[in-house]
Amino acid sequence: MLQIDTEYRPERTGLQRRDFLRIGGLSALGMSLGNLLHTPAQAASAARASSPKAKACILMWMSGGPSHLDTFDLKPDAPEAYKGLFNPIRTNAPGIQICEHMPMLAKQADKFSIIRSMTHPSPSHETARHIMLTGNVSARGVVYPSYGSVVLREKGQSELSGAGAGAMPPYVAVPSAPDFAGAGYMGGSYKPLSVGSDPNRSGFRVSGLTLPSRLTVGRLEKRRELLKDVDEWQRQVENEPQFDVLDNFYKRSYEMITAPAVKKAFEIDKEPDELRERYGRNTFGQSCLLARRLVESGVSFVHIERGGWDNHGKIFAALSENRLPELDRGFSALLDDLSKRGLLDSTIVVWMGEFGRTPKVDWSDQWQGGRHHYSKCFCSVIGGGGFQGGRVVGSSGEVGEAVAERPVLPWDLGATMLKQMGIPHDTTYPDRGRNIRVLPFGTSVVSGGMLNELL
Amino acid sequence: MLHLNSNPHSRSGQLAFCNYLAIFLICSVAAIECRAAESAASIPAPVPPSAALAKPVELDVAPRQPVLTGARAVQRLLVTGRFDGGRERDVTGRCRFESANPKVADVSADGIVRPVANGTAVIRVHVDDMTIETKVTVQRIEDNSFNFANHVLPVISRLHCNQMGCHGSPKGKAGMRLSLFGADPVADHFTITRASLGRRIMAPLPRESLFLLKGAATVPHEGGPRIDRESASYQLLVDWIGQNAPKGDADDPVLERIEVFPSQRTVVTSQKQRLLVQAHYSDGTMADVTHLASYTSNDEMIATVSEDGVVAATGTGEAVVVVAYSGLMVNSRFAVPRPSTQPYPDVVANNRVDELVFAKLRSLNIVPSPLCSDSEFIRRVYLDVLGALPTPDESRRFLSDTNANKRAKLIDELLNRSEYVDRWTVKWCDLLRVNRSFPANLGEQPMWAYYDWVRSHIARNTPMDRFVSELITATGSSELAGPANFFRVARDAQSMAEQTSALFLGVRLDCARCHNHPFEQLTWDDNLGMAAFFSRVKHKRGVGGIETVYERRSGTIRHPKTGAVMPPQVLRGEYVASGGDASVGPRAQLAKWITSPDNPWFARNMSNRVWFWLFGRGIVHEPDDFRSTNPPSNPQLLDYIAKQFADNGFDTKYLFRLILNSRTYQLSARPNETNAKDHVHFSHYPIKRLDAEQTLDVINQLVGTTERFGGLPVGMRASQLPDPAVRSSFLDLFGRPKRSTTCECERSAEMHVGQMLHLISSDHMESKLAARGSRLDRLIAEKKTDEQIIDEFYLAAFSRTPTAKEKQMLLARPLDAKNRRAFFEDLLWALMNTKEFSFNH
Repeated sequence: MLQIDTEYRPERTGLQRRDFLRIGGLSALGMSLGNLLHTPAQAASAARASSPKAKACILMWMSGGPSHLDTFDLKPDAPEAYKGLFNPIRTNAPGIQICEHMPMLAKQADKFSIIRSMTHPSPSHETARHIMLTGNVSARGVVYPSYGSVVLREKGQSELSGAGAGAMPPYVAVPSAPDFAGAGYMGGSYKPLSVGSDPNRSGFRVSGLTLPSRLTVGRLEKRRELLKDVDEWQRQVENEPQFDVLDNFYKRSYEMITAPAVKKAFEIDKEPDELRERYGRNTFGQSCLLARRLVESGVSFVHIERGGWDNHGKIFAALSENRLPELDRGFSALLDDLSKRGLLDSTIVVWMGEFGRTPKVDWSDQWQGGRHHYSKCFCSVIGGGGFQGGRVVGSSGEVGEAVAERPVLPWDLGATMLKQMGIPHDTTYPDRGRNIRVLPFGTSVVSGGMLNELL
Repeated sequence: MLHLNSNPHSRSGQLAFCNYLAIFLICSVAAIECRAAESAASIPAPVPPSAALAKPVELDVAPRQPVLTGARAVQRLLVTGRFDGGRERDVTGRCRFESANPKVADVSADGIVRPVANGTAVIRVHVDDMTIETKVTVQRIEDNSFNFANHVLPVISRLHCNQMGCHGSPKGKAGMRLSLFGADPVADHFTITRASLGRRIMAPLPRESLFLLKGAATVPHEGGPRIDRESASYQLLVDWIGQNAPKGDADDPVLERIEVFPSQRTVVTSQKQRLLVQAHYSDGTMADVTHLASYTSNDEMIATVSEDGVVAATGTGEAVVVVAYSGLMVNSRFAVPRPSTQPYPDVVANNRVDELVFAKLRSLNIVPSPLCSDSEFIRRVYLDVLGALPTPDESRRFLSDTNANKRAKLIDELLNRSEYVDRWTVKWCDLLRVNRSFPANLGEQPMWAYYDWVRSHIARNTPMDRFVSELITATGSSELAGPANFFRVARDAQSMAEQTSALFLGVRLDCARCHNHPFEQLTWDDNLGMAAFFSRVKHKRGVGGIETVYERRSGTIRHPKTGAVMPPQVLRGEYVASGGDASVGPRAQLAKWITSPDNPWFARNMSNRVWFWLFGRGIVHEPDDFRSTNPPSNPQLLDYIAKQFADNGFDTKYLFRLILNSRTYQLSARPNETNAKDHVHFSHYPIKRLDAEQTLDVINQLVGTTERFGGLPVGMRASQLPDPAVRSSFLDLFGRPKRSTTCECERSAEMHVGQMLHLISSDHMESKLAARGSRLDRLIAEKKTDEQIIDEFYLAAFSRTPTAKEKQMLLARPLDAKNRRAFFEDLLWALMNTKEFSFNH
């Protein structure tokens, strides 16, 4: 039967009232109640005062919801019904262990930190995706802009110089953007550009950006001339705002199509074979490599989409044979490569999915060793862009069933990411006559505070 | 929109409003910050007299013969002058007030009457050499009693203590939780006077009450100072606490309605007008609550309104000020005509629709654009009604027809074509969320059953009341009974109620799902009462994903807070007797109420939707958001088309015919100097971006190619696809909705760079231009001349032949046999990227 809550029930979030009390006592760890009680105006001025550490962000989206217990938060001492089939291994960060199927990533652990106490209220994909990618809980009628769209809006076009660098799309999705990685109420100007094809395919090209074989730049120029001549009618209807929008998009499109810098950024086959192998010759690995090229070319936000993480059944085979090896290669190569090129300090790399997965393994015949949706407690991983590596934030309970200490809500993570990019979390944007906050962080919503311990 | 699915085995959630944890609910009102604290003076400053001090020819005072009840009563007087030419304006600021009997009532220099003793007094109002009198009655001067809901809660609301961002938030603030916007006086009285061991008030020393110390920020208060200790509001709260903070008596009068003066007014730019708000109670008494009401303008570019209720015209056009007090709302409509020295031209009306539209335009001194050309008309009406372009032959036939009645004839023809059925089936399937996969997850066979059912009714032009009744009362197997899927898209009683209300009444009940609606006089009870009609609807799973929707013989819904069984109850508290006639279930009763010609919403909402579909803008806009704070731009027009629709048996095609034949629909899209800024009164046809299906279909029509959709016959048009599960990256790129909500807004007309990249240089578009057997190939095979091909292209794209200038410009380009095809490919590319092609106009 239908259920409606009007009263706050903290037990449902895995966040207890005593957590708040504990948070109050944690100021030694860089957290204080002051974080929670920050008035928006103060927060805004604080964030604006310091110059942004991060210029770009690469978000690795593990669509489906990756198991926290089989990746970055293993529980070797859990009872049999909960314990997975994988063992933890040591990393190059003291005291931090991750899954044995990620040995290369274990060697890069000093470059990222693990948040083991992520929590939010929704174990359903769509809702959770909205929460994680936008940092907001949607109410009917309002779809919030993704972090990428917010960054696009605040940062605008690329500031890099060079031939046609200004034409770089600021927000790119590789290979495509899921629902809620878009612009929400902000509208089409702030949508990501989806590359639309697999960067691991030979002859990879971006439809629309790379001209079809029969269309040369010269012929396109001729067509544009012709269009100018036949687009007579708009002169009869002046001051039509839609026309200005359209003209602007056409202009941007031509710039993108013809700019050498844009063309170059997508030429993944110019990378040495050795490096391409290092990233892994699969969609995820080459998406990571393309993301690095894009960031290098001035793109502010790259969304990497990788599915296959909704492992209700036969989870251990799926992870050990496919997901983890490719993640291990791609993620570790990206951190390594960014670091060697001196880009890691200015590039946030964040790994997340909708939620984690149920601590108890479902060994029923139907699932044969699977885990289901679980949002009460799960992991995200973040590094670069001023975020310290080699740390663990928060912890989960004995079997990973609940946040044991230091809850991190999606908007806490989001507020910290935006702060690193110089965007105050109380920024507001107009929507149909109302001003909407970019994040609920700093309002009456449940919060564990900024991730100051990682900055 | 989002439903939090608590079953971890379910792989996909239902899109429904978040009801899991109120604390996570960031409602749209969350963004509204606490407003500035109340100013010391709760009486509005007088409006400065206008520079043009013409003498009025007549005076009027509002309210007429007011009665002041109780010791604390005050009464503002609002004086209106009528001037030569019939114009009215606020002259209160220019008046001198005088009480003929100061022993009974006193009047201040700015027209505020205060009681002195029981009795009557005449107040004289002087402007220039004119005088008008009004009788004031004072009664129960000895009565200084309080009723919490009538006297105290409005003050707390006015101080914004109970807003979403403050103590009105679901978990309150700093330990004190008030009901949002004062919806629950009983709970609020308890919270303030009794909760927390009663520490918030101290009757012997009212000023030392924590409640007031916090409010005035004498002790630290996160919300800052909300109330000035010199203000009348502060004094009222002190007096109330001093009397031991009474709740009031059970037989105290209750607020019945509020009234605003003036309810409408024509003003000129930069002119100001005070508002006066009177509350009326069940015992027949009244009170001036101007200083306690809240005010919002629906268009601040036209008129703004201050916190004290002073309206200032800032632009031209029409604005509505919404006045809210204690959960009740009324409107005051302000017309600000465009200044002009030109005489208003004669405008011919085709029908009553035009008369009503043009009357409104005339009142604002906006001149409608001229009639559109035949070329514009045929292209426009094809796109709007069929979602397709006329063929060159169809255009030629129409353009050369000399029959004066040819537009009406064409309209009749189009309403009987199969593309009409395609297009409007898509529209209804959008609204009914027909989709085999996520988010509706109907499954393939049920999707087809639902689609076929919708399509067959559109094809037969079933009267809308019958269509809706069949949906609301549907039962049966998901694969056989198409409309039963209405109850699979929405799976619980509240979602069913919200979907029914949104679709057929245009009322968004979902805001009232967990609290009273902030912008409407809708309550939680309205939501639950509607839900109660659906409490017996159940689902039974069968084999192979088939599901049967059935109605149990009993079933109730309980109020989550009180636990009381909710009676089936339609909006605003009318009760529908159930159980009297056992043969008729609650859903049938609801269907009967909804589809009655007297229903205040149904005909209006449905006819407003059709208007919106044709004009891209509703008379009420957004079209599915009927509420008193979102008034129609032309109420008479909406009433008229709604009545016509109901009187003509809810015949959708009748309504189409009525609107399409109006001159209003047939106006040019080219604005003139008087109407360029008007986008709400239909002074010119609005330029509309083509939607996703239209765009793909007309490109194929122009080029003469077909589209291939996986698993469906070649040649199927985009408008013939049953649901968005049929893959098409083009359609997704151009805003095809996933059908996740009942909102018209889900279909997006928004443009973005990805669309342009696709049109300019995608393989998809290039393959069309290169395709063999296209229109171009046919014309070349028919040995048409360059000029003939150009003519044909222009007719196909724009339903017109090229102008001499255009033709000359195109023919001037050197063509030889080798580059001829390439040139015409380039021309097609250019035509399909013009604005004339990409928009309906």
